[in-house]
Amino acid sequence: MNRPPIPKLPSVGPAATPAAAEPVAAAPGKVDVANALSILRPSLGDQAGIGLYRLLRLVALEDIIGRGAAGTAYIAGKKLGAGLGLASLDDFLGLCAALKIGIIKVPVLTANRAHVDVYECVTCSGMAPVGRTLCSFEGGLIAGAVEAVTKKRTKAREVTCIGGLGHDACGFDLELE
Amino acid sequence: MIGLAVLLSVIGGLAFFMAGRAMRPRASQPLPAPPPPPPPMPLPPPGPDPAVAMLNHQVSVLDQRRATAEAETAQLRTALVAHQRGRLITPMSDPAGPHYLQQVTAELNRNPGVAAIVVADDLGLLVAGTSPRGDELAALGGFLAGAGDRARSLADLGPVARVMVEDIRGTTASVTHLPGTALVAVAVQEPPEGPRP
Repeated sequence: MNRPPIPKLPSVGPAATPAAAEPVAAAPGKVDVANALSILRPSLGDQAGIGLYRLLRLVALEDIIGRGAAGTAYIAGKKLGAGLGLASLDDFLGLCAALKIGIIKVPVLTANRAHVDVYECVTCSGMAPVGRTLCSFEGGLIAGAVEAVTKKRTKAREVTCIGGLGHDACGFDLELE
Repeated sequence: MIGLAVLLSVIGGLAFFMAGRAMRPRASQPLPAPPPPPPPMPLPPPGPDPAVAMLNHQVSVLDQRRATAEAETAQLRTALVAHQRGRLITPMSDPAGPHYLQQVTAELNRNPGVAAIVVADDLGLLVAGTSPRGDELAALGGFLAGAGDRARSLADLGPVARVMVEDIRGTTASVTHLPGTALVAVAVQEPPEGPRP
């Protein structure tokens, strides 16, 4: 399947250096996306284990905020998805593939609803079920990206979860208003 | 006797000679043509074959049953895991549940002084509500509910009933636990006398 090129995120990759990175225009004290993705690790490169991401996302964040971290993560993901500057849904699928968020399939796609399945989810695949959905950040990311592309207010609700509930895929029902 | 033996030898020799001629290869003659292919199977007459149509119908019915069974299995698996982990969840698969909550929140939203009201689950995800900022309010609900739990443990409080934040104009954002569920109501209200200057 030919996909259009992935929209370039600012300063992604091991070659990015503080000198090469674009000027950081965030408010004082705030870390923006471009700055966060400015990676300079000559020996280790720009890759790290999924375990670190999961510890941060599922353990540390929930320890700080509590169970309500899911809602906060959803909003954060939605803002990020809306701010990526994606022009088409294929761009988004390409980005998901590039970031290895999971294997994305879209079995349902109509004008006002969609269903997205994420196999091998970066957040939870392989975990023992914990009794609730876990991938609210991904849900927000999908909703934000779809909202930006379609210009329709979009809500995503996670209905299946690999590591949360023991399903085969993390599934998201999307409603487009 | 000798004459008979000579005669038989001559006859044998002639027979051997004639057999050799008959069996010699004939390079100039074409090879025999392969047998003609069998006639093709007659095509079924146009139009639906009743047997095929019946099988297609049965496949369709079984596909539907399989989809229904898979959906029910997913719901039961979710409920089982949730039960084992001790988390009370709302039956989101039941369309009447969210619909009823949607009606209630819409009705409460008409009350004077209520700027917005939504229902969220304990994860901070929206369950019902019509506010354009529903997702944000639901996240606030999860956040403040977590803060309430933290305050409860730090200050040795009993089960938290409500967490409220008030701004300098008297507008409040409150998170109220709905008894017997893992849900909270998140309401943004202005003071009855109007915002303070």
